[in-house]
Amino acid sequence: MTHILFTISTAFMLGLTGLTFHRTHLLSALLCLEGMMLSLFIALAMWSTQNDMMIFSSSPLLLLALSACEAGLGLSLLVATSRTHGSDHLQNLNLLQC
Amino acid sequence: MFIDQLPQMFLTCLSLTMVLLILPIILSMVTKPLNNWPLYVKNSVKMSFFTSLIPSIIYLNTNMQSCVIYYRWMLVSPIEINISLQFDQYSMIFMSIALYVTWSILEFAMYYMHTDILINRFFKYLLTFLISMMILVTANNMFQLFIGWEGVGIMSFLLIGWWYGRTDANMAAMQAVIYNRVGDIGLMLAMAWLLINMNSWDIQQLFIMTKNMDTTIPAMGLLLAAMGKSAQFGLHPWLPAAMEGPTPVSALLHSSTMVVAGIFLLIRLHPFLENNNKVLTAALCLGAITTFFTAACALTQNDIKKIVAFSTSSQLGLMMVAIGLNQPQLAFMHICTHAFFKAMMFLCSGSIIHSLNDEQDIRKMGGIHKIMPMTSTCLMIGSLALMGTPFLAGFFSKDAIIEALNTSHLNAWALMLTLIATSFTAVYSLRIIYFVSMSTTRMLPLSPVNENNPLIINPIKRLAWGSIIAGFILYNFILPNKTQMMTMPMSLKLTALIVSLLGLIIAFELALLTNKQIKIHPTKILHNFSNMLGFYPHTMHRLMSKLPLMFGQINATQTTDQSWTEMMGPKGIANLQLTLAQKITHMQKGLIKTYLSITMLSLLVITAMIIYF
Amino acid sequence: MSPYILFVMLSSLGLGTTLTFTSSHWLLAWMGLEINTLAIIPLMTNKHHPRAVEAATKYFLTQAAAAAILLFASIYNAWYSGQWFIQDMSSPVSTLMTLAIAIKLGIAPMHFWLPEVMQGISISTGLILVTWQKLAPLALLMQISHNIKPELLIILGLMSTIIGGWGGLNQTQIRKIMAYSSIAHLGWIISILHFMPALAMINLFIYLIMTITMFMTFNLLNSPTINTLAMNWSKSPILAATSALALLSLGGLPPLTGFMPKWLIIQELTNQELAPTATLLALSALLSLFFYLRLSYSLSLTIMPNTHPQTLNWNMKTTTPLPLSLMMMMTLTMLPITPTIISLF
Repeated sequence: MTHILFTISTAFMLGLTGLTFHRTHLLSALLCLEGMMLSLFIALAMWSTQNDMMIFSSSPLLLLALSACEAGLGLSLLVATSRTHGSDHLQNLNLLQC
Repeated sequence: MFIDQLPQMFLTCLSLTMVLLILPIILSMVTKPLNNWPLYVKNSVKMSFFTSLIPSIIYLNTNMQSCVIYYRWMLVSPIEINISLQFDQYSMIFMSIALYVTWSILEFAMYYMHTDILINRFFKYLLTFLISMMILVTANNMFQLFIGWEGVGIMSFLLIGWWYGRTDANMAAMQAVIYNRVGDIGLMLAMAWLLINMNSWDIQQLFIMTKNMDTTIPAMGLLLAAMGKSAQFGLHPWLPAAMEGPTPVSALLHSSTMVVAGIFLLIRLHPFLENNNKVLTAALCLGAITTFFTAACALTQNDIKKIVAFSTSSQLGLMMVAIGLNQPQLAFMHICTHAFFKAMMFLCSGSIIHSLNDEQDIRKMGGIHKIMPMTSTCLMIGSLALMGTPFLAGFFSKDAIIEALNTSHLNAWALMLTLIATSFTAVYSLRIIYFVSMSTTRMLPLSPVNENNPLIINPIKRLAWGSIIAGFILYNFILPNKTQMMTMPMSLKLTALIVSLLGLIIAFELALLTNKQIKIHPTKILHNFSNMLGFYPHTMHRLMSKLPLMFGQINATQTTDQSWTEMMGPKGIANLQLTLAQKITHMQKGLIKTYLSITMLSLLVITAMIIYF
Repeated sequence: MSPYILFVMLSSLGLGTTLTFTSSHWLLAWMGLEINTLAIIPLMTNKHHPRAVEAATKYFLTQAAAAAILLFASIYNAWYSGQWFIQDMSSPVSTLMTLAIAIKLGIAPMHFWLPEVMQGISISTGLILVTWQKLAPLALLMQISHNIKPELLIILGLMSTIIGGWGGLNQTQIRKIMAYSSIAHLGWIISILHFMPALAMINLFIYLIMTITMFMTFNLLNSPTINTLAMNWSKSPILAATSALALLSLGGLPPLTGFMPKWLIIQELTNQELAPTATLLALSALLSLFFYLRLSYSLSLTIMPNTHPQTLNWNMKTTTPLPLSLMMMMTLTMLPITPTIISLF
């Protein structure tokens, strides 16, 4: 495993761990998600650079665009959740339990 | 010339006796009931008794015995079954006595049952009961004997359960019939064995054929049969329970029919037993246990009829002891004398019970001597005869049995038990007299006391005469078949009297204690044992049925139904699923972070597992 | 929601799935999935109430995380093997990929989001969620199935069927029951996936038919809970009777269509010498059958447990829509044409 891949994997895993184990705010979850996407963005960019695959050089941007859409969707859900549940605390989202 | 005609007269009168007995039954089948049917029944029994006196006297005079074959009933090759009657010393004397006693009892029943709307049927039952007993007594083959035997059984069931509206009466009737069925197994076993091995049911033939054979099996069967019918220990609880029947029924049942049938069977078939020491020892021990146990039970009973009933049981034990001593004639003597005073005691207690407005508890009697002198006198005569007071009826038979026992070299243990039971006889007899006749009255003030009805007085008086002189007459006229021990030391000769007196004295002393309270909390273990009938009914009726039921319940209901087919089966599976379903549901708390954590963890675990393996 | 926006959203939904279907490149497949997720969130929050928003948020978080893991796995794969083809996955990465897809599909033990999201959204959106949304991830899973270890798939499948059964036992909400039913059926599908993808396709096909039938029925009857089902015998007797049978078909009882995939799967697993697995699957089908039976009992064998006198809508003129009728026929009567269906796949 190269240093770069290790670094990127660690970054991604940290983001994923933050998303799954940190359990207070929806905003922090979204930030973790964004962190994961950014680490993937860097991974993709590094991959195309390292392999000299110029045809893939646009793919990080595509990824970024979709992740931006996703972040936007996440933020809009943040807003909606705040309006319906009063705050962005994740533990408030328990209307649907069995 | 007169002598020449004796056999004809003998047989004619015997046949007439039977015909007179059966006539009312036949009449009741073909015509409407007569206006005074009970009287008619009583009179025919009375006439039958007088007719039976003639052959009895001829027998006593000339020692004439006969065996008559009337009719070949069926021929199931190779067995020939005849209707044949045997008139020997046993049947003839017993017939007369039974008829005499039954006559008195029927007369008493006319008073006792006069309010019963079914009195006609009652008399018919009593008569059928008696006829069955006559058939049993005169039977000359096993088949006839069996008919009489079963007839007695079924009639006792019907009569004990006469007041079928009462649970106790029904229970008593059921007990009687069930215990008797147990005994019947023994009789059937004996009959089957005889049929298989001897090809005959004719009693005389059987005696000859089995002379040199080992008859332990049929003899044991007969002993079992006698045990059931004569309420020997083990199968005895039905007899005290049978007190639920009307008093005339008890009187008849305990004196001349039913209970003595078992002893009579052993007397009649005694040749099977006489050379078989195993069976004789069994009979001796059984009789000794019975006489002791039931006498002990009688000590603390409070129901007057129950005390008398237990005394019957005890006397039956004594008869069985006589059988065990190989002295059937003594047993027969005791049957005969016992019939008089036991019937009389029942009639007396019936009279007292009626006079005290159906009160049976001796603690609520007392002072009867003042208001019913005749009845209480006769009751006392009966008790004294029962105790074996010299020269009353019981003395001649009871004393003879105990003498034979004392001079025999048999089981000392059985001897001891019998002697103790004899002293107990004195105790409970005194107890009846003490509580019923003596001291002050404890009954309700407005009791309809009246003993001036001839229907009460006459039968009791008649039986009282019997209780006084019957023993003497029989003693004088029956020649013993077996040699009796004539010489013995003074102490042995007087043993029976001494133990009775000893019992009497102790009982007096105990009776005096009833006025003093020495202990605040008396020790009542022995009292409870006696009062609860030795816990025998509880053990055998309750426990023996409860244990299998509990076993069945545990097995069938709890183990199979509740455990296997429910707990382990549908319910177990359902509960298992329910728990797990609840666990799965409880994980869904609506917290997205938890879900994500579980997802992440399972991601890691599964990936690690897959990479490793 | 205005029809234009609805049209845009639905066509994006179609586009996303189709994109995933047609791509052989992981990045494109990921994009299809992302478009799918982005398009369905507005449909979920169509009716703006807290439960819908909550469901959408939960759905979004899980799907986004799953998509990120999926992309991570594919990039990892690309770093190692230098290529992006879906068909060629190295084995360790394919495990991660499978798990990411399992999160997207709602396969146990990553199933937690599914019942709650289903509970928050309307029945018609729920229909999309348990049918159309499953197609794209399953298509990916089917393409990499030959690289996945069978043990992994069987473990996941067994857990899904069993948890689907137990989870549904304790429920009274029909949408949750249908979610657990979906989990159980997906378990059946992925159990056979490695050994015979065609059979998994048949199973998926029949599962789609039966689920669509049931959701259309519930949509028409407008019953969110079990006890409201009991009113339907008066609304539409024929539908009540046939949908009771359709539920039994979903449970997999023999003369009905639902028996076919279970039969074939058990047979195939036995042929693969996996009789214990087949036994466990069949036993777990009993659990599911129990709650289907409970639904059909309420639907057709009981009357409304109401004490107050209310007028029932006796024989209202509800015309059963043609698609529902067709679907119902297929749900109930396709067992005899099993050979034809096998030959199709």
